[in-house]
Amino acid sequence: MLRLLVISLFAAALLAPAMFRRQRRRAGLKAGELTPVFRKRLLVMTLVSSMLLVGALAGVAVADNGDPTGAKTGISPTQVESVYPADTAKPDAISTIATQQSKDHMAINFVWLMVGGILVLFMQAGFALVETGFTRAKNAAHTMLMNLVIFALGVVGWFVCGYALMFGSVALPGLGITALGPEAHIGQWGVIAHSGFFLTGHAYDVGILAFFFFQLVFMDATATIPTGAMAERFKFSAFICWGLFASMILYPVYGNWVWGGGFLAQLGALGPKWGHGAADFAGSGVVHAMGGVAAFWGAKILGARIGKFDKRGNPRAIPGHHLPMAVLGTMVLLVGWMGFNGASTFAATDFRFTVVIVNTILASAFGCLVTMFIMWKKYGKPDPSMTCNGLLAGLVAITAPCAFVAPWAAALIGAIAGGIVVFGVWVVESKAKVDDPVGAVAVHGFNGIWGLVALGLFADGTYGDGWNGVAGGVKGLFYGDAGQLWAQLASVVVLLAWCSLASGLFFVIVKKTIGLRSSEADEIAGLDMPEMGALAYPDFLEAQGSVFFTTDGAMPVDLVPTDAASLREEVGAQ
Amino acid sequence: MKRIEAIIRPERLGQVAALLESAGIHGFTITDVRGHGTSPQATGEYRGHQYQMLVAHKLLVSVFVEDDELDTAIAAIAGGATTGKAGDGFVAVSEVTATYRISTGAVEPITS
Repeated sequence: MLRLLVISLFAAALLAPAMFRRQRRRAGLKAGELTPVFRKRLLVMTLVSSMLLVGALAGVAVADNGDPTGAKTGISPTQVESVYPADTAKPDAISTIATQQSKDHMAINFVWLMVGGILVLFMQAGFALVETGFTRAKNAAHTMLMNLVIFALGVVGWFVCGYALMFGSVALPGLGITALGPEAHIGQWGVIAHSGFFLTGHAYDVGILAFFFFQLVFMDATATIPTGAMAERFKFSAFICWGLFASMILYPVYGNWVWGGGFLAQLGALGPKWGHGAADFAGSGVVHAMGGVAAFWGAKILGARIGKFDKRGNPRAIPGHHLPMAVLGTMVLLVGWMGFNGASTFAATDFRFTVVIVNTILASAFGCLVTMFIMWKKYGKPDPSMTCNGLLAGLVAITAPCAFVAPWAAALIGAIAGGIVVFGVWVVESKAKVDDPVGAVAVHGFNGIWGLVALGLFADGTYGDGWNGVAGGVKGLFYGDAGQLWAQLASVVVLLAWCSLASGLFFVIVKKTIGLRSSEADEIAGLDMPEMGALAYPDFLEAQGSVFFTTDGAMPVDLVPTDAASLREEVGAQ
Repeated sequence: MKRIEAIIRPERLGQVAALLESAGIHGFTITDVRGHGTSPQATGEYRGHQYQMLVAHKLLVSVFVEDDELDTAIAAIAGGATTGKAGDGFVAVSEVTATYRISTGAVEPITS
């Protein structure tokens, strides 16, 4: 059937030039001459047909010879002899080989986990560049330092109690990890782990420390997301409190419920109505939606930057000072994400990681293009800033489902994410009237939730046998398991409730006590000098708050309206 | 002696410099400036919102000339800077009462 389709597509591609020749003759044009309309059509037809061809060919290949789980990939028993010569067949030699083989097995897993963790660690640089590029030069030192210090705060918080609360009860035979202690339960439901504070107990262990590091860098991603949404007005002392709160309490609690053996992971025990329980492969929910939802409440409770909204509440553009920096940061995040998702198999011997990486790439590309074309169509220009957000949106959305879905579904999930991020930015700015300079809520919040839901829709059952202790592959609604979707929706509801409650309460308490926001005078001057004591760009006068845009918050922007109507209103319109 | 100050489009500096050189006037000083003039403000687009550029990037070209070179110099600058569109800039001339060369170490009036 597919072969027939491929052949007919080939035929169509061959016939296309002849068809165009006929049209050309009808239009009275010479050979080789094309009207612009024909040229455009030819281009579109060529593009579409070549994509279809490639898709169809790929479909044939996968249907016949694919090995989506990696079960068939590897050395067959008949090949073993060529690797290990016959004279090693003595019992002690066999046990030596077996020991060495199992160490090699672990070694390759540890290496993959460490390489992945190091890639994710570098995402801190990506976040720093994106956030600083999207904000103004007068706050650049402040925004960069938040991104550096959140790393250090996160490490401290994770060391003190974050890891213990989230993963204290986790055992992972694949990495040689036994549980540090039990999970605390209410009835049958796990609520929190509580072993391994300050890496005590038997945490002084190669496997546990490998896992500690890998999970540490994920937590740091969550902690750094709200700093973008709250940039340019977040008081530095309040930010310090946030870093510790996020790494010690906010992140580990929900994380334990999904990844640490808590009640969301246990939902599958209720029966097939709940699929495998809440599944989140690399953290669309645990990492990104948590960061995005906290970013929303942080930015809301903090209030908008001076000048972001005009008197009627309409949002204004406050252009970021360094788009190349932001684009570079987006590329750094893209590369880091290969480790984020790819190494979340925790094992290089789980060959599924190649599927994960390709799915991640596909979603990012489709997210990027869809956002770019939407912006281009809607506002006339591709918009570099939003295109960056689109790529990140695709990455965030595929993070939960990346191991469970087929490549075509990953592309679709990314494409939808590209639409959601445009919608999200509009909702946050124009409807909720929340000022999010970098689009963190739309990228991480909206698309993190979409990622969790997408898993419940598109998971195809080829992976995840035994996930959360439930037999059989993880299947979404479109593959016949509505239960998985229910479990995903339950985890979304719990996430929204916990994150809103905990982060909202935290920000309100900080606001009432030490204060959440920099003073108005400091904000107008730029936070670099008042809060950091150093300018990011001391040699560039223009970076110190001179005004190039009629919307720049460097001066009291309410006096500098953007449109003629409000200008007349402001000056009295005599 | 006269001081000519011309505000020009940055991309026309090469032509202005070439015409000044060919008119026998050697030496000029430029300053990066931003200004708000009669030409329409450029409109930017950022994350779905439009904004107006309050000021546009220009160059301020300063040339010191003898009185008899003034017309040639102005013609050279205007010829090089013009594109025929709004925003080409303008030229201002002012009187210079004295000039001194620094490299001689003494304060000596420059005579041509």
